[in-house]
Amino acid sequence: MFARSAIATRSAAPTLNVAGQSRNMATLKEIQVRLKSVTNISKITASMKMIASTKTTRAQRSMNVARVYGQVSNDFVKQSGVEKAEGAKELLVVASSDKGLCGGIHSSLSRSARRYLNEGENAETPVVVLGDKAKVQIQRAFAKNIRYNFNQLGSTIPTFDETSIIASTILADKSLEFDNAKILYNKFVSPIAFETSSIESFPITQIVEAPNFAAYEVQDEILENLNEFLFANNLHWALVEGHASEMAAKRTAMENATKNAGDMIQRLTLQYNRGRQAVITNELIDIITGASAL
Amino acid sequence: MSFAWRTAGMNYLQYSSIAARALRRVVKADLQTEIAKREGVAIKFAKWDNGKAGALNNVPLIETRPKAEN
Repeated sequence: MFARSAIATRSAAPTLNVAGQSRNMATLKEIQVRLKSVTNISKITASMKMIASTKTTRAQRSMNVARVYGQVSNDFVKQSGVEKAEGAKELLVVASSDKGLCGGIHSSLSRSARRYLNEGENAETPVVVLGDKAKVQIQRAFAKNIRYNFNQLGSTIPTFDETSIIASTILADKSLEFDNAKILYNKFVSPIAFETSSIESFPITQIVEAPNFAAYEVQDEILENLNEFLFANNLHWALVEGHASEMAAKRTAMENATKNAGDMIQRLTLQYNRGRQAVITNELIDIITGASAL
Repeated sequence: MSFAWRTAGMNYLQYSSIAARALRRVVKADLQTEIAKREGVAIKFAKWDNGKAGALNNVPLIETRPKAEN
């Protein structure tokens, strides 16, 4: 159907040939400019992909370490048989980062944060946002819930020093008044897939009351230390794993961008060459008709 | 038993990060370059009040060395 209409328009407008030709000349130049910029963009995205690939491998390596630490401390909490207390005050921590250009990784986080806050009983939950990208998105609807935001993180692999400082700032603020912390992060499933999930961080006061806690024979004096460490450890796990997912997502996004730019280059080159051919043919026709008219 | 550093107003995380810093400074020279990356915090934070962001501040760091030496 499309082909037929194309033929129809072509045969119906032979008188517009002159106008069409001059338009063709203009677009030829335009196509050339366009082609150049698309080629430049594809070069940039290709090198960004390379950078993201190397960063992914490194981030994955440190994620595997952080995950072991996180899982061990979470196993301890799980084995103690702790249950979420009725009416426990929650704190939502959203572990995102500052950098964009990595697909839907930040919007996926803030979407699940919004979904959580939209549930009736969570409407008043205080929120701590790590990273600027999620901040902007959460701010729009839930600015009142945000208590802290941290930025300047996510350009390198998060260190435990950084996490400790974030954790101590959160723990030091007595006005936050939370029992459980729910840490939203992007779980690294595979280099091409991530899944937004959450880590529940329990306070030591609840763990102490858990049925199997006595088996661990933890001395009372170090309970507070343990509480601080557990929270920081969970936060660190979330940040490092989120960083690995982000780098992997960036790699995929840049790979797609490079592929799309390649397609575009191909199409524009074809269009450019066709246009060039048409101009040459037209000029030849002009010369021949001019010569035969003599 | 109470911890001296807690009496001084530090929490466990601050205490352990200072301990880690001390350890990082005494490792052998060939490992220093790798380890140096783990030091230094550039994080900034802002406290929010009633839907408004406050000023962006540097995170509080506990200095263990005079600034000139760093």
